[in-house]
Amino acid sequence: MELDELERDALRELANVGLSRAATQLSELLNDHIEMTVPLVQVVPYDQVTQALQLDPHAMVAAVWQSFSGQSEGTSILMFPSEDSKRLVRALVGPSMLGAGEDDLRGIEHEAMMEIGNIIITSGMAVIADMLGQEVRMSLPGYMEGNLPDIMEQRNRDNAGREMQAIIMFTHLKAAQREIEGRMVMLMSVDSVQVLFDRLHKLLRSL
Amino acid sequence: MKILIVDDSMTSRMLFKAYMPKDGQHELFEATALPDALEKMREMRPELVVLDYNMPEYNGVEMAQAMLGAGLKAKFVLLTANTQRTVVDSALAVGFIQVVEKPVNAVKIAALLAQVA
Amino acid sequence: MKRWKSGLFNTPLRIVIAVGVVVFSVEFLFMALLHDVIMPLMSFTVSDRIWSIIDAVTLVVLVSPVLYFLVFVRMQRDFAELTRLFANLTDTLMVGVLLVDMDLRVHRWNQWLERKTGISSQQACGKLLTELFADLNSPRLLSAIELCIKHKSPQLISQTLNRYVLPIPLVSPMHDLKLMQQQVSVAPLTNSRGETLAAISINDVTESVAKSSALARLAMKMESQSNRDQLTGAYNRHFLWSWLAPQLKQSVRHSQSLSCLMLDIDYFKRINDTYGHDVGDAVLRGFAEILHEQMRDSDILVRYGGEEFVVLLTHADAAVALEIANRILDRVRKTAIAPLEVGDVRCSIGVSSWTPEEPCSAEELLKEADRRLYHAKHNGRDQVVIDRESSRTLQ
Repeated sequence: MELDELERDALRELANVGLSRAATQLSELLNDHIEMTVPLVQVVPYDQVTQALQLDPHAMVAAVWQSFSGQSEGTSILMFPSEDSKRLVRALVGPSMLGAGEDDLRGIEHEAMMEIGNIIITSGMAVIADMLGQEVRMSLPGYMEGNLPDIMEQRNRDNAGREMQAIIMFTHLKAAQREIEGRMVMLMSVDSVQVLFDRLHKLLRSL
Repeated sequence: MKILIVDDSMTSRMLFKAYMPKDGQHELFEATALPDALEKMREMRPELVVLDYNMPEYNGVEMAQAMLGAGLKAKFVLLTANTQRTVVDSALAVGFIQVVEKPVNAVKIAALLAQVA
Repeated sequence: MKRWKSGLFNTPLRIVIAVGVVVFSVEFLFMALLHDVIMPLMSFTVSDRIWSIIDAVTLVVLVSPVLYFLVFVRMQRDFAELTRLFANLTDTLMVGVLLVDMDLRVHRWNQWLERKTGISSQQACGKLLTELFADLNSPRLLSAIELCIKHKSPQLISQTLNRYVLPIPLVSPMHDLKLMQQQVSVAPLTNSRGETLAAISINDVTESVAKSSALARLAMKMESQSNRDQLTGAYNRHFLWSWLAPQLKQSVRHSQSLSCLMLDIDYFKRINDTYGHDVGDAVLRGFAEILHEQMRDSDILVRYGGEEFVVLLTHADAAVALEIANRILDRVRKTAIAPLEVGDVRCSIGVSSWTPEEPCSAEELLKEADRRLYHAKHNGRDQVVIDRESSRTLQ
């Protein structure tokens, strides 16, 4: 689906507002200055998604997802390179992890990333839904670590036979003096993407 | 009142304009980045500058510092969804009179103009 | 907002009853009109057969409200029973369950919470959460409730990032913990009127937190008290320094050489990520074993970092050290470290030596070995580097 310059700008602005709000929430939780921006938004067909994400397909990725339903349906997946997410959690949780065993560490990372992802996805989706006048209901968050193709394949498993598209938001997270490049992907059917874009056009026409 | 709005997002500037009262009392200028903003500032001498926080090269607070450094006497308002303490504090420290939470709507803009007037 | 408990099943039931009554009344009136007024008026004559049909229909119409009524009473009783069961269900759970609205007003408070907080359901319901817990200080909980109700998105509140959610004092403090450690989830619950409440469930994880923090403290204490690394049995860093200083003094006194091998397992992170940490641990143990086999009794093995080891060789100049290093490299290449296969594990080694001709401090000795290890890694791994410029590896 082709977006013109203004539509792309609008989508990026919505994502930026959503993730800035997430940054505000995270800063409260983590007691730290946090910035989150979305420098780039892309829309690609599902079969191009792993390539468009520009992540090493062999590297481990930590992913948090929540599916959503309403006028548009799909799954929002937030991904960070595993290495970075681990370092981030270690920096944030810090002293309480000292002396924790490997198993405990993994548990802590898993829990912390799930909550952080939960906040980012919820805030991002809330702004998009609000601005476009959509009602959205989210599922409980899930977490998985794996390489990119595996993660995308797993998340797309229930969509067999449907033509899927992905709205990709490149995210830039600054926290605990670290900068982390992540991706948020909204995996949706072509019809759902169309509903979303119709709303976007309506918003832009009203301005 | 002459108002300069600085935001890299066209949508955000359009939203702001759309919610401005259409009473002919305000003149709105737009800029997308620092050089542009400095030029408009010299030309138009705005009384109110509305800055987005989250922009690619300099954030809104840094831009305000540059404009103040260039000798602009105006009221500054920060427009952002990132309303965490550190951001608000940095804006107030530079002399911003208010932080308005994105996304804007008619109510927020009316309140802002009432406060500035 | 009315009490959440009532009305879940009653509204549809009332509609059914009302419709039933109206249908019955209209039917009855129509039949009565037809039979007693219209027909005699029109002096309509019909056969007995038709009359009997009309009578039968009338009978059915007369009996139906009784049937309706019986069915409704039964349904009402079932629904009431179900409602009661569901209401009590939350009381049987081993987790805290409470319902709050956007204003933080409590609508339900289960028995678990009564027990743990000492606040009865009667006291809690209708009150604000902030009234019940004057010292409530969890911005995350408040924003989670808002996100949940406003945006219909369930929220997880982890113990890891949130030390305290609802400040519930522990009856008997555990170690240094005085408040209950919680794992909380907040989920939206929408009733038939479209009002959304936040269903908050609270897991008490105090015990596991206390246990893991006590274990962590214990492990740290043991680690610093003992000289050994738990996993591999190698000496730890702490011991390295206490051993090396007097050893170097002795080397000076007796003009003996001493060499240092700094070893690192190549791509260990990949092994960990691919096969899991259990395999990673097994590889570390197997690797340490190989090192032990190649060492002499007077040498010592130190686990220097995660997958980094140091071997200190007494009475060994650079030539001896190189020989041992190459032997280690060879053994590692040819050994299947369970459960991996031969060749899956490789290592890089940096070698430095203290000699009477070229003495240095203990720090310098290790730093030099580390620098050469870095060169070995940089040159493509799986090799020994003994001087800065070139690498001499096993052919």
